[in-house]
Amino acid sequence: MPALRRSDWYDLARDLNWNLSYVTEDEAFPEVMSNNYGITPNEKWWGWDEPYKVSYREYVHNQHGKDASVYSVNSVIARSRMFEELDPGWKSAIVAHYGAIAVPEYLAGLGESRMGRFGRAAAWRNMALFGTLDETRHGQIQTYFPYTLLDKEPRMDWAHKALHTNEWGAIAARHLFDDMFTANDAVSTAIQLTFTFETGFTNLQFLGMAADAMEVGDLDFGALISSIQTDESRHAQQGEPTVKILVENGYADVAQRLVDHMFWRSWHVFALLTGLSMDYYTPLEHRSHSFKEFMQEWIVKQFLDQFRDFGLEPSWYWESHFLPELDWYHHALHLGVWFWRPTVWWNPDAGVSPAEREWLEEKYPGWNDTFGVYWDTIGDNLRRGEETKTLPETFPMVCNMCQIPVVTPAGFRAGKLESPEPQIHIHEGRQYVFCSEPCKWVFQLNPARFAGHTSVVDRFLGGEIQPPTIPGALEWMGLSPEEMGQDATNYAWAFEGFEAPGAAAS
Amino acid sequence: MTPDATTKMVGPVIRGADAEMAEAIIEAIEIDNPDKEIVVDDRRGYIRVSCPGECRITRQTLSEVLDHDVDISEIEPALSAFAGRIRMTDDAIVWYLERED
Repeated sequence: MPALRRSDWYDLARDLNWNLSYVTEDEAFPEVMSNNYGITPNEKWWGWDEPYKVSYREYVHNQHGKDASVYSVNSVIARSRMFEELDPGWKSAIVAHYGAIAVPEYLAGLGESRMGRFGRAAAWRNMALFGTLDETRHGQIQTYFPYTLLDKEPRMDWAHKALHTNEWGAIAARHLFDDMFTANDAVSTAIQLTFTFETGFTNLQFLGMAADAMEVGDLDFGALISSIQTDESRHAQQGEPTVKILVENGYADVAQRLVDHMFWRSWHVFALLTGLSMDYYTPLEHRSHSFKEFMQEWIVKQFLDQFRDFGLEPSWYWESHFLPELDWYHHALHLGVWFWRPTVWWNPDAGVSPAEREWLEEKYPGWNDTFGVYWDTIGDNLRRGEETKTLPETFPMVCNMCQIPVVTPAGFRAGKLESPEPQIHIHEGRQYVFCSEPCKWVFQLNPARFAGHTSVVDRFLGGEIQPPTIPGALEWMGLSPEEMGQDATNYAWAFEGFEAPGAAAS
Repeated sequence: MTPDATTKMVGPVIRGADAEMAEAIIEAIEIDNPDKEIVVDDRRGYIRVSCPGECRITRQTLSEVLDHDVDISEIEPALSAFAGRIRMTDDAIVWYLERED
């Protein structure tokens, strides 16, 4: 045990602020790197005090132990048949996870290191240094684990590849993460990445899926992602003191807007990634909760309590848009992802066998009438041997904010939207299409930030993708025929409870 | 609304893969919060331990339960998340919420 208690020296060691004399404050902390939102002079930020404290010595000790534990599990399992015996839908969930998450973790390290330099208090910069090391760990470990599975599943290389391609989901992830931290200033990053995204949403994918992983028997993945989240829960605490300084200086409206902006964007990407994994890809017998139930536990209850404790309130869209979408949005995305399955790097599991449909109806009353009917038609086509009718010949509209296909007709049919039409907005002569009012609202908060981006469909229609065909677009997305998604169970679900094809003739 | 929805529960969410520490934290929290009803929700991948309003764990109790000295910071590898806000000293961690409505 050290001779001194941590509190005896902690503030002195980590709170080394000083007044600048060789350069101006603006030169040392340019607005583009660190927006002070009008809170000057910089001394007003020096009261920044992280609630979750760690010294460098403690950090190194803990991180060493975490890695030793997680890599041991990976090493023990490496020569087993555990992966081969996993359910095909679950394998899809983790192939999707690694592609969507591994490189963004590395990018989050850029955001953390920006706070490590441009955070407006020494204590904050100290915490962000630990955050930088954390995210470096997450990037490395989530490229290494899939690397160890390459001989069993070649598409594990999408852990490294996905974010370097123009695959549409990768574009959606890049657009979100660029907005949140790669191209964000330090103050906004603390509120949007650490407070909104990490205190709120990452728990869904990293702990909700850890619960499912332990049920499924995927110890490797479960041990990995739950360990990562122990880092997140610490460095996410950079959000609270930043929110407090904004609120104490009369800028609660700024904090609220930053949270509202990133909450909505995070929700849409997690509906796409976690929603499909939990409610369709995880084997039925191992589902611990539905996606909606996890959302209610981690977001609607836990995260809401936290941000209300600072005097913030649920966003203007909470009751009108967010809560209703919990019942339909990810179901609509799942239909689309399955139908456009050649455009993703994993094998979408339809997850609509008779027993699974019963579960969906129980968890989402009315599912059979709203979404089941689409699957009835798809199943009929497959049973008639008309697979081509279940594959795309063109592309859907894509939202100019979240970069996710527009699924408003399904929301309208589910009785949750007043119109099946998307939101249209004209800005400086260009027409933008949005999937929802909140996506349009985020655009209008800062049009200059978003206006220049072109969606996959904009690029397709603009002639950037040649030849302008489905195969041309798939090649542009970086998907070889071997990599394109296929139904995870080779349509077994469509024949459950029906005679197998050819059986009648035998 | 159900009673669960109106009561603000706070406390740690412990990593399920760390069984010994998880059991020790639960036991220590039961000792350190004697007047509170402790709710333990075991999801295997994670274990949510909750108290209404405020939840405390001390270094001394955790050391006694584990039967060896620990720093309070050694909880971190097991602390995947938490409900409420956190306050940390040399000797204790407290999870809490202030707003009552």
